[in-house]
Amino acid sequence: MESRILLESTSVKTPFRIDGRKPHEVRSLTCRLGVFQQADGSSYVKLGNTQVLATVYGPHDTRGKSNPEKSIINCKFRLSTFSKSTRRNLHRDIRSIEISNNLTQVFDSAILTELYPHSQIDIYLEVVQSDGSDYAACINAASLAIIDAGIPIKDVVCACSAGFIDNQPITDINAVEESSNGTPILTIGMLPKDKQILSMESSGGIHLDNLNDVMDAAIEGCKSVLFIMKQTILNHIQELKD
Amino acid sequence: MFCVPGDRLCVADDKNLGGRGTFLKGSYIYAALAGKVNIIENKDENIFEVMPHGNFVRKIPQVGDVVTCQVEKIVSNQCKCLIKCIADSVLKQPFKAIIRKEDVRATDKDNVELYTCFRPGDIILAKIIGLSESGYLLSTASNEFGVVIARSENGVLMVPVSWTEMMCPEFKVKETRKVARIAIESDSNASTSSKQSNNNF
Repeated sequence: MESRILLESTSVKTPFRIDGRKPHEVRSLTCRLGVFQQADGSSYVKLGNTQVLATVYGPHDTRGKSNPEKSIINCKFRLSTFSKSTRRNLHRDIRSIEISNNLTQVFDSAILTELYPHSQIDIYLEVVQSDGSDYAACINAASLAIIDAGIPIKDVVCACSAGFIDNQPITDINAVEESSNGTPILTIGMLPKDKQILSMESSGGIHLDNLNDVMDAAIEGCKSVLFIMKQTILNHIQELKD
Repeated sequence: MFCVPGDRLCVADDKNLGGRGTFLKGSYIYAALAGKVNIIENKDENIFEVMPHGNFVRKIPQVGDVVTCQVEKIVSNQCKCLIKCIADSVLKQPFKAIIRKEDVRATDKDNVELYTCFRPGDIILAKIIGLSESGYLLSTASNEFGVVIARSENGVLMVPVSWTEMMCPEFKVKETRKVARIAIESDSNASTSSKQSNNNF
């Protein structure tokens, strides 16, 4: 039996998704800054049931090679063993390595690395609970942790995922929608001020005609995520000043 | 006024300049940090800067800085040390640095014997003169740079007797060092950082 992801509602024209959301609705986002004392910067992001912890160390002395022009960014992404429905050690997971490399590239271009030559900045991400859109949640968490650490960055980097189900673009994919057969997923990480896309990652097949709609859905999602992130940062600064 | 990274602060022109925690893009000044916007108003220019939240500034050593270091080991022609403080701010993590044999003192450079100038464990004041493959390059080729705190072979804090010798006050044994002359009035930077290192070690 094929499970339907979009459910046709009888009273309203817009269809509802499996968790009761409308197609363009983003799950509830909660952010916190400065959750760890020992790290230079840290953050906690809860996107629906996806929970991510991020810590930032640095800029500090490099271990091994260094760049005389700019700082080296080192990103480590890890899914905890208890993050998914089946307990599994995902330590050397190929997907984790891919996400780590993508995150490194995103923050290499977002952080003003030329201010800290011959140094290294470490970003560690731990997914405590995984319920879809891990990559997007990680970009948001890392961006907040970097801001908490006081490292100069061009903009608040925000990210959101989008998919295409039943001829309808949907924003912020959860785990059920992610695992349903053949759902294309597109994650966009961007600098919202210039509308510059730093990272666009997709899995699953998507028709070129629909790509623009899905991208728009993801960018719209980014905007709503950004609003909450900015609010969180401002609240955090004001709390510290008081 | 508070800002988050990416907020546009002002148009950049001859009158308005970007300071710490900001960056220029196009013809505007943008914030690069989250914090309070501080406008320093001078006679004919305004400097915009962002004071980060919390009481810290991320610092890394830069060429020209006066730093406090601890000597780690001495090899044939260079002395390896760790930078612990920059001027009067203590670093969270140390940075690797080396002093080459020819940068120890300004005169008689060819006849320097490194082990008569530094010993592992000494706290020294030095100036950063450059960068190399293996870390920062330091120089103590000036009167106010050199060993500030050192212990004798018996582990007693020594007092300087001349610019090349220090004496253990308990056993009256003299050891050779490249001693720093700390002038409190003229070099306030150096004296504060040596005080800091006193607290640390």
